[in-house]
Amino acid sequence: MNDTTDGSTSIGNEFVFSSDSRGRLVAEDRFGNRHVGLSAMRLFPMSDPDNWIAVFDDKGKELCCIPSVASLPEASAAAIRTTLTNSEFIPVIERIVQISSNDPPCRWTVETDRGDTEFIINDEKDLRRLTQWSVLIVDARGIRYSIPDTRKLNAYSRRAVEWHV
Amino acid sequence: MGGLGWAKTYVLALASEQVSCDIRNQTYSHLQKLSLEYYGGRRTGDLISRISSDTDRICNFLSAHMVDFISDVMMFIFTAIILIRIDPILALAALLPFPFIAWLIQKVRINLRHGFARATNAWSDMVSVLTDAIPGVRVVKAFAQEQREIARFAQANKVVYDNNVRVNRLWSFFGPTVSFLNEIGVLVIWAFGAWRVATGDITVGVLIGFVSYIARFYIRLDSMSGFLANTQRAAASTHRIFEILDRQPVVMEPTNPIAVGKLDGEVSLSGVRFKYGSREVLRGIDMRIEPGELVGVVGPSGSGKSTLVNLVCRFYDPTQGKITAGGVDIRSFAVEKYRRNIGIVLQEPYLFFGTIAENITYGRPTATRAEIIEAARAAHAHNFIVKLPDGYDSIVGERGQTLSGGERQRISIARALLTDPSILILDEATSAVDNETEREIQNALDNLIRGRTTIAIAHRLSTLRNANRIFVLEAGRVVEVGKHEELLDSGGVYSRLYHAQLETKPHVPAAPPPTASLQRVRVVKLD
Repeated sequence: MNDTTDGSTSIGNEFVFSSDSRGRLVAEDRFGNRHVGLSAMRLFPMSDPDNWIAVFDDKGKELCCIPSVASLPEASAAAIRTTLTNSEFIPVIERIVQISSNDPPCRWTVETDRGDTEFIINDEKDLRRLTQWSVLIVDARGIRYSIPDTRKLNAYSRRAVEWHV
Repeated sequence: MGGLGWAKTYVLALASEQVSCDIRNQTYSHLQKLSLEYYGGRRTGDLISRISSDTDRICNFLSAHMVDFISDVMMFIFTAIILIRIDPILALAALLPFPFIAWLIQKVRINLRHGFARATNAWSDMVSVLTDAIPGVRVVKAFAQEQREIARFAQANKVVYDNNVRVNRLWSFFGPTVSFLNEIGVLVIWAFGAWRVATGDITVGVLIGFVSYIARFYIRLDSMSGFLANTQRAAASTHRIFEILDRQPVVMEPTNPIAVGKLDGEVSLSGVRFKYGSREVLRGIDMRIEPGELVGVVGPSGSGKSTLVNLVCRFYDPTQGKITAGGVDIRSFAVEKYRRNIGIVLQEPYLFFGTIAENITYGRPTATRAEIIEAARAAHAHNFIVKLPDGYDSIVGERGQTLSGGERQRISIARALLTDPSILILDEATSAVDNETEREIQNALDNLIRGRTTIAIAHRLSTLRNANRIFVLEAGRVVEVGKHEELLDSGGVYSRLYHAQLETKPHVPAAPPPTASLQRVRVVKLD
């Protein structure tokens, strides 16, 4: 992808990514230039979370775009994934323990990949189906939770999600 | 029996939902095929009401009433046959109230139909108030007109209420009247039957048998009359649906369309005239635009600029003359395939509820993510998109309300870029934004118009400095053609318009850096 109009011109495989001792993302280009303190962002966080990652320098300027993290060398991919995980907080719901009511507002008690928690859903529109099987939930405080594949939930959890979405 | 009842209810509900779903689909797809001219005279709320409420009423009639009505009719006929076989003379007496009931039904039917039609129209008007006021809620609040809108809705709602009350009044009179006539019928049978028993014409057993059947007969009649309101309500709704379905698009598809493919961008208009009703807007336009040419169309309001591009887009057909693309009359192309060659950027870009990516790919849903990003970069939209929490998956809200005017415009440019049109229409694409944003949009437009035939409507004449040619329209005619400088030197209409804009300008700030093609001087809009 060649671009001359809006900043970034590079694609991710022109860089070697790593994490420094302070956990910051570092990129080194083929000329040996090091870029430290980078941030990463998923351009399609819902519809294609594993691909199209934009990497920004410490001033917020887009350094490059990675079409596929999987196509990077393993060490680079790991550094990118770690940066993404650290910068994002979207717990993945693994099980729904209880929902206080069939209609919002209701309290959800869930188990996520970040631990057990409770949150309030104020409106049925706060649950959004992204694809046929994936769902994004935004609680009353604005914290987002994802269910990447409802088929992987247990029967109760699946029924609960289908009821509310 | 319980199982059969369940099956009947389920099958009926299923069938009526299917019919209703099909009607909605057919009506909406037909609506999409209708020309702009149809939409011009309609209120959004009315059309929404037809597709939603009216189809729902038809569904309700089909699921809840139609089969019962048919069953009642059949039972009515069978009972009548049995009555005639038991005693034809008594049966004749039983039918005595019939002519009056038939007359009453006919009378009430017409009034009910009219009443339901009025009530349905009133409902549409009420929905129209909502579709008008809710999207405009910012204006309502900005002008502190909440109470006025509440009153406007209450008034529309009152009309619905009044119409429904009027229908119900009529209906509440009709039902008991029919029941009363039925009661009289039973009394007549009893009296007449008793007399015939007394005279020895029939036995008491025959009379008892007859009366038990006549009771069923009148129950069915009573029940059938109860369907009248539902039938008429459904009929009024059906009429409104068929008003759409019977409408033919003004822009007709050719019988044997010529394959379009990718056009080279050459567009010619010869002797094109166009009328809106009796008002002639274009009065003989001749124009030839070469592939890749950037032409400006300018002129005072009402000179026919927008009509001209509407004709090129084939939103309407000329009343006289013809438009060709690549040397072929555009009426010979299948409309949809022809329009795939056209990209349009409007003054007020319209974004649909959905994600940014969905809006960019609206004209080409099969675009890859790489193409989406590339189009967004070229449209200078990528940088603001990556600042949104969900990037390209961010929801733009209804009509793109979560974005600024300039951001919406850049999304619409990316959308046009992605379709890679041969002919590009810019309809005042930069006039609704501030100076800074306009520069951004102009840069984006530079990428968009490169290598394409572009027809740019502009009120700000200075934006057309780099146009290959400028067509000046006045009262539906091309009065001047030439480059910006040539037209200025000629001292004609264009020159007059240009200087009028400069003179109305209160102060000229430092000129913004000119962009590659479309440059701009701050001027006051003409109209």
